[in-house]
Amino acid sequence: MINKIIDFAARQRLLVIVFTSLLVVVGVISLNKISIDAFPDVSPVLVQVFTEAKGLAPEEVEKLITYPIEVAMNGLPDIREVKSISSFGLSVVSVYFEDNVDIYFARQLVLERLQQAKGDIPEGLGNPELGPITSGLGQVYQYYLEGRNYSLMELREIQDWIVKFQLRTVPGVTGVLSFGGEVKQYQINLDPVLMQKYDITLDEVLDVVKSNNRNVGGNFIVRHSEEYLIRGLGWVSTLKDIENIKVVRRNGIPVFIRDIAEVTFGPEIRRGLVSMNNKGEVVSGIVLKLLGENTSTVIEEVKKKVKQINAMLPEGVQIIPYYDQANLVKKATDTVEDALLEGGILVVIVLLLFLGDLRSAFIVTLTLPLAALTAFILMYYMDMSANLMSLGGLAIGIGMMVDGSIVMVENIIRHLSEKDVSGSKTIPVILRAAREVGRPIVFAISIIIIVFLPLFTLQDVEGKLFSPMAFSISFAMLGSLIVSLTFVPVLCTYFFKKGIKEKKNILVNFLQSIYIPLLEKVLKRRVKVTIVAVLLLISSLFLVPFLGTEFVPILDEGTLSVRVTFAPSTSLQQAAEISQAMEPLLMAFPEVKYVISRVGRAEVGGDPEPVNNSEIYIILKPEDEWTVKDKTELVDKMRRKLSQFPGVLLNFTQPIQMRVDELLSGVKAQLAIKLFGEDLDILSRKGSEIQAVVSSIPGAADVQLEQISGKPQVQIEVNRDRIARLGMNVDEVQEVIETAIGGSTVGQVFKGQKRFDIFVRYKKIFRDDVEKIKNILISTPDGGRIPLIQVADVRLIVGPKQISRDNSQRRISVQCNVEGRDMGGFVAEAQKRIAEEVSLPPGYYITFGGQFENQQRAMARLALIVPLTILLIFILLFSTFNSVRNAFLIIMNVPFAMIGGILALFVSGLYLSVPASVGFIALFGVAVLNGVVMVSYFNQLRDEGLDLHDAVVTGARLRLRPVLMTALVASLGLIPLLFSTGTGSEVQRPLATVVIGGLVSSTLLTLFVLPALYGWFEKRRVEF
Amino acid sequence: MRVKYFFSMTLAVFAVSAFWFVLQGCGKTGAGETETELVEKKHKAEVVLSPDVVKGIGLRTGTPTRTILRQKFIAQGKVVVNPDYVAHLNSLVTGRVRKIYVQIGDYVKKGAPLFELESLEIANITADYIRAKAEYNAQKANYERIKTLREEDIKSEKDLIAAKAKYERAEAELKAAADRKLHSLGFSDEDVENMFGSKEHRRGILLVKSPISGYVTERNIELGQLIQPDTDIMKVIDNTRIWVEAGVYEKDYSHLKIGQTVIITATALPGKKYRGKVVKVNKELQAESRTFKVFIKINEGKAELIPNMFTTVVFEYTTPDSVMVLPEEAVQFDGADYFVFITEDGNTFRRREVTIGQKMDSLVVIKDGLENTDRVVLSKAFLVKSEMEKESFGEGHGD
Repeated sequence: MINKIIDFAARQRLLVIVFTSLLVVVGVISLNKISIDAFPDVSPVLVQVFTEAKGLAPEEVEKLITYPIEVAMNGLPDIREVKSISSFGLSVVSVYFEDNVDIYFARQLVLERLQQAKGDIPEGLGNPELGPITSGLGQVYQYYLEGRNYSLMELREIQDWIVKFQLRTVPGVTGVLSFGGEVKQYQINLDPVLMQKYDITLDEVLDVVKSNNRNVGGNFIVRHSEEYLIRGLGWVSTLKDIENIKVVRRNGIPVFIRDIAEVTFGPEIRRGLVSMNNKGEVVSGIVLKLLGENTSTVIEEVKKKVKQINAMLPEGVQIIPYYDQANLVKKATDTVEDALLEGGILVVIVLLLFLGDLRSAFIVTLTLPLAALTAFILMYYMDMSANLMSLGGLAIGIGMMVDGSIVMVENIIRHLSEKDVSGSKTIPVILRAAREVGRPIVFAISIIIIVFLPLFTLQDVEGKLFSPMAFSISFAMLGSLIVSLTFVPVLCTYFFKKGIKEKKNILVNFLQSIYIPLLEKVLKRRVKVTIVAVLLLISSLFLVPFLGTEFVPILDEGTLSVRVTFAPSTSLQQAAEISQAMEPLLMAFPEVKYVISRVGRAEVGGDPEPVNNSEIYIILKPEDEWTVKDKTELVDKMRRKLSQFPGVLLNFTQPIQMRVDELLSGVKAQLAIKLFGEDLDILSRKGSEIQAVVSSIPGAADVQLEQISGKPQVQIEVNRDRIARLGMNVDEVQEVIETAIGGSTVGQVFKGQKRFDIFVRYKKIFRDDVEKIKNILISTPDGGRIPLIQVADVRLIVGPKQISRDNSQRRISVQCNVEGRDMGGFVAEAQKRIAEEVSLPPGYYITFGGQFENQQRAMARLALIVPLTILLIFILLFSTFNSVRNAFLIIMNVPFAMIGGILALFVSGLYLSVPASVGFIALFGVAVLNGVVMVSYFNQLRDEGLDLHDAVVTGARLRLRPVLMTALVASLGLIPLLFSTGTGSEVQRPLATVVIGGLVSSTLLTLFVLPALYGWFEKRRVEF
Repeated sequence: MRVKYFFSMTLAVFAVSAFWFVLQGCGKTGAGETETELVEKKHKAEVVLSPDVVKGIGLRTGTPTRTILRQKFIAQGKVVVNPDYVAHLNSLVTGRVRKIYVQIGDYVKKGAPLFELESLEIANITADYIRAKAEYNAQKANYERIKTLREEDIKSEKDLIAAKAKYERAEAELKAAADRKLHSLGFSDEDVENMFGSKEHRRGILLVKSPISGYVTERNIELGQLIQPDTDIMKVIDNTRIWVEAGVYEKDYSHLKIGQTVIITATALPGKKYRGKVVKVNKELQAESRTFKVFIKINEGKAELIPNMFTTVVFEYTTPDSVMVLPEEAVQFDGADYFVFITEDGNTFRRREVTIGQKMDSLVVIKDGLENTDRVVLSKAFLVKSEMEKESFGEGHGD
């Protein structure tokens, strides 16, 4: 099979060249068309159902809206879990699907069930809508509107009806969320005193407004053979129109709206605002990218559109971006591109030095772009994006990609110089040489691909994060395999037409002259050397406990964000006031370019943040303008500065990180302890007990209890006896509470395509205080009016702030990070202590979750798969060598390779994380490969009749070059990643560290210990 | 041989696997000992803020004040005229309007002519009167004559008695005609006296005069109009005698007192305030409106208030003794208790539970829990509360 391919290539040389050129062309096209993201999107398959229920408290939202929706969602196929949050005026139900479910199919399913749920939601309470089709990485472009002499209301109008409309037409944009400013309303502010004077009830006002705002169609009439359409125009269009609506007639004199109310433009009730740079409030917008679209293309298109919109906006109004993921994407891809390029150059230098021949170095180097292009083509057709991880995979693989070609070219040169042929006679020689190494090459590359198999088996987050890497490496290796079997020999026939003489390589000779005496000494002290090696191995294992563990290092997004959490009862104004007071302090840092505070939430569809939450984006200047050492120091300084504000919790994070954490587990920390149960009070009380226990466990940091309670309520409970005596219904009181105090929308004013709500409510001075609410008058059926307090009990309590549910169960979460100790031990202690110290009522139970789950799951998976992979390699080795001893000897390289990896991690102070594990995996591949190179040659020489010692020494001398080359290209290819400080280097650095450190130890062992051990393993055949 | 190979192969795999497990497992143990800083849980009801922070957030402290608390309740009302100064004019008899002296809005003095009524009934009554008068005069003359004769002992005692009886009957009839009918119709004694002198009255004409000084506010007649006894003809009111009628709700009744001062605002006169006093309280609850009618006398500026203007009446009353009060902002609520923050040095704040009483404007009565000398956080107490809550749920490294 392999020989057939080689034969075919040798016969159809032109065809191979043509195919290779075609590969280049298709590859370049794919490269240009491939979507480019910063990171792989780890967001789960999630469909969110948002229901806005204006004015409703969390309990009612949960009962009336969230519950029916949740119930409807249960039992959908491939569903993973259903979570919900019911907070004031908003219900968010998140339906998580298995990762393999298509998002559009999932939405279809949810939508179908939603129809059923809608029937169970009381009329008029809220209309459930699906959230935008986007992910945690979706907020790609954020901007604000600058407008001199424009009010916040005018700017918001421009944002909602011009900017948003236009931006939504950009392909790849799934939505635009408006945030901040004031939404214009036509407000009818009723004066209850005047209503009493004219004896007008609330109902009458609502009815007349509704029945004086309608356009109708009167069909058509035929007039002189022409059809004239008939329209009845009755829409209100101005404040005057509303003012002039007649309410009742008293003594023949009409009473108009204007007689009992003030009709003005006013802002809709706000649940969020945006302010920036200590310059006060602004109107902003968030562009959401459609799931799966190419981030850079979308941003590019958005930017083009923004330019167009800017030109058509009123004089003085402008869209100014403040956050833009394009930078991040560019930085992340730049990091790996640089690493690829620099790694490539280093590899070429190594090739030149070791091969000592420009032509052969050139041929081998050509493998790099060809293998990479193959990877791009396959990635493009697999619909994968080029990102930090997938490109990182190429960077890791850069050294391994050339392995096959090196072996091929080297063997060809050896044969050619042995045969000393030229012209057309070279072809059969090259063919023979190629056939000789065909199998070993396929074998070597298969081993590399096999070692990366464990990465394909990772699930969830780690799977989404690392499988692109495994894919791109495997694709590139596949490419390199094909290229080295076909293109390389073919190219050799052209390049070495005149034949080639293997020149004396000064470097290799020099190295051999050092290596052989050393090897001789080692062979004489085999036992000692082996013991030293084993001791080294054991001592390095003792270092492992001192390595910290983490899931994945945090990616630096280049933008900081601070989550500021206020007391649960904090008003929007108070939260905004403190956020705005923080802005100048942050602006004072010379590293800060600008600061944007986002208090509360954007319009429905965004993150359902409460008003006691502010997210401050801190956009930083380039790092070379910084006066502090690094980001950690900057964050420390900022934290110190901001902690002077009393009553706030600060959490420094990054925009994407925060969003992704939230989507994944619903908490923003490593560990989430969730207490499930029915009674909110008990949850709250037991929650704080758990919090106290967790806080006292060594290693606990940032322990936070979820704010489920603490929202004060004014409870108005209608006294049924008293209203009965007056002949009233509860509803008559409730309507006043709903409309007079809360306000209600009674219609809309249409202005072109714009539409504005008509909102009826009592004037502020009649309802802005508990005492005033108590005195609000309610109409009685007798035509009298009675103060609310005479028919209802009004009391203040502190009630729930939000009700969170997982899988239809109410819950409270205690989140915490773990510092200075391992996660597993911490969780075990926490579980034990909580079980001992917190007694739970029946029906209440605790689960542990969060990021540590990911880590444990990933590690558990790797702990299972990696040994299996090693077994697979063992079987492969066994089938190749047909000898258990040889296979075992080679496998021995694996543990020894770990010595350097562990040592490198320890010295660099990096944690044992998933990327570090990936590094170990890559290391195993190279180590096994080197072992194969050595052992197979020893065997070959033994077969040729050399005695053990000679075989080992000769073999080792001859194999010094390939072993060193393989190790050097593999490690030098990673050097740029090791020293890179760019975006995303955090993730690649542990990997590079492990591989480079491990290759040093594994190479030394391959060169010295392996030959020493070979003797024992071969003892039975011939003695020394 | 083969068995041995497989044995060693299995061993090898086992060794490597075990090795990997060791590597994985090691990551999960130990390291706990290196943790020296134990996170301690402080259940302190105390917050310390640095002077900079205190100044920065604008936190003010001070002692609670004692004051006599003015409290109030509100009722809706309208301007009415003191019922003593309202005159409705109508007729007891059917008649025709002969002459009208005034127009709506005219000011009339007491006794000024308002209109004239022409009526057959009046003519009859006048005729009856004249007849009675004539009879009376005749009987009187007869009686006096007999009396004189009797003194001269010409007439018998019996005749005298008979004459006296006739005279007295005539007198009574005259009085009845004059008092009961003519007076009722609106004729004064003077008019009656003048009756013989004037020829007009014999034609049945009644001149109606204003019983009070005031403005004519109603005139429902036109010349020649036929008046029935139930017709409201005119209304004269003295709108300088203004009261305000307010409907006080049941819940406020216990605070209601005669003589209580009130502040009145009128919808039509924005920005103006009038002081008044409660003069009358209707002891009956109006069934429909569920209110007590209360009448208020206005002290000054009443000329601006026009009857039937809508007014809002603020009833003020004061606590009997001075009470301890704090600004509303100073008192915090946690769902169960009300509390304030007290401090000695201005930087350390301690929670102190208090019992609160009524709230008035932006003041809260502190019934219990505080001494006059306690230094209390007066403003931004909410931020102190937040900081305290944070201490209790956000304990840790402050992140």
